[in-house]
Amino acid sequence: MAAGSARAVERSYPASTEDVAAGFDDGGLAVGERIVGESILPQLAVTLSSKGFQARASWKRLHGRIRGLLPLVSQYAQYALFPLAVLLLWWYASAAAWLPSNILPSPGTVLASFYDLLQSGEISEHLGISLWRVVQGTALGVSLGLALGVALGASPAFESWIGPSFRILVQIPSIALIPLLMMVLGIDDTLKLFIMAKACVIPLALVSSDSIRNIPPAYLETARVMRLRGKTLYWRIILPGALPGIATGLRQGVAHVWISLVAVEMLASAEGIGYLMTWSRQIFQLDVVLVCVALIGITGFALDYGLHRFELRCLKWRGAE
Amino acid sequence: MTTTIRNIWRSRHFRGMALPIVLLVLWWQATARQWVSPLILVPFGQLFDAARDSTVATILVEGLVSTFSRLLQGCAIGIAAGLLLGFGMGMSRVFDRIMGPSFHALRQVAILAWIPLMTAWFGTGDLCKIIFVAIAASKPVVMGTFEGIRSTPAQLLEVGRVLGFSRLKMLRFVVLPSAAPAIVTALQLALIYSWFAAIGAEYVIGVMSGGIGSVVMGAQEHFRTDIVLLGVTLIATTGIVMNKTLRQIPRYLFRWRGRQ
Repeated sequence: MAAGSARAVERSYPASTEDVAAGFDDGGLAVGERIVGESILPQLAVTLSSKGFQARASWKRLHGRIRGLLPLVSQYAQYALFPLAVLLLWWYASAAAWLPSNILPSPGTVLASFYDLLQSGEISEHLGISLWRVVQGTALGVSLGLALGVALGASPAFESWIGPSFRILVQIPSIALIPLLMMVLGIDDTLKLFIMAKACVIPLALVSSDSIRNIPPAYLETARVMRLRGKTLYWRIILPGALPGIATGLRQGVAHVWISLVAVEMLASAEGIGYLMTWSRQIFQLDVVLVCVALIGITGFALDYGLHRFELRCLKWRGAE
Repeated sequence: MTTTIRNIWRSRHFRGMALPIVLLVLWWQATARQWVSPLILVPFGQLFDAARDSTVATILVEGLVSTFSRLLQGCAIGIAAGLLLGFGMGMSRVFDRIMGPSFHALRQVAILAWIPLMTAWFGTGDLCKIIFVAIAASKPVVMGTFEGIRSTPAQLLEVGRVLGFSRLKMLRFVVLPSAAPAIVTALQLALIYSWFAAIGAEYVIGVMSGGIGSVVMGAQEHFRTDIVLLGVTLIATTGIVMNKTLRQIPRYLFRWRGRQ
């Protein structure tokens, strides 16, 4: 709505200014004197040609539109206020050297080092490694988590054997286990894979078992009426019924995978974005650290956003109901 | 006779305990028959000795206490800041527009990724950890408060408007009671998050920082598997106990709401 009106103003703006300019030109010629101020305008309005009158009207219209635009402008100004203030403060603090430049690099330095890292391919290398790990961890975590979730949700017997232990494990975040796992698994890829898989399995298994248990009774009744059994029941009723929950679980799982991967890479790794960040910190290249922080945030956001789109797409069929 | 066995077999407690017991037996056998190196999996005896050893116990308990003292300070600051920000964003659209986008952008960064920057800015001492814990604690508080205030039922607001409530009265009698459960849940989350954030910070910052996380990290570097195991168990148990206890609070506080 707001965007629509802004576009309308943009479209009409050039036309109106031309109108106005033309109108005043004509008016000026017709009367033979320059318009000085507000006081002669009423008089002018009477004496001026109809074209001049039109100009005044369109000027008024434009004015009204600009006034309509004001709230929008002030809204954007509000959005920009805090980030701009922080940026300004940052820029001023580094320019006035409140802190040594290796502790507070200037915005320009950060941008330049981002460009350098991009050019040298260092970023794409480390980020690529991290993302590849995310793919591996998610693949493992999703297969295990789905299996566990379906088993926990569908079989009360399995739930009674495994469920209590699982619910204890849920409450222990993967990060807390890192030192122990570092001793058992070493600091190789096995460790990262294990921690990522654990981080992904838990929300996924939790949510998918819940959503299998809570499939709308109407679905199950329909299945009973249609005498669906075994495979058909699972593929046609249970799985689609549980799909929304599973999609949410997947999204949570991937978010956890990313957070725990960054943690592991910071603690025990020789490559990847988390490693690049800790290493740059050790050699006091805080500009690189800041670039890494931003990249970690952007990657996390992109993963989440992408999965959200995927989720919406997968669940489109539900909209038709 | 057979029915009692069948009853035990079917009881939830027996089944729930089965997996942990099997794992413990496996562990015992693995260490007794030396399937794995004692460096990786310590024998029970050694673990009990370590647990009874007064120096180990002192180190662990002192670590726990110092972590907790920082946790409480950081959490208090974080909760206060989070409540302010959450209330501001929830009550005023203008404030939401000013702070909201920045908050949501910063929220995207995995929390531990702030540590390298914070150690550079605030050193590796208590200050850095307190600030880090405060940041971790404020995140759920801002979200919970904001959501709680924004989801005040429109009917209630209308009643308040009909009664001619001032802004302050509206806050006191309408918005706060309706947002209270969300806020309490958020506070509960804040405590849990900040516990694990404090531990994570100590892991990442390393051995020199004091607190139970750094004790565990130090033991890991010296291959004292027994201490690592005890420490991680202690950390996990503390988290679970906090979780359990804190969950009781809203149940008690919001009895008046009846069925949630």
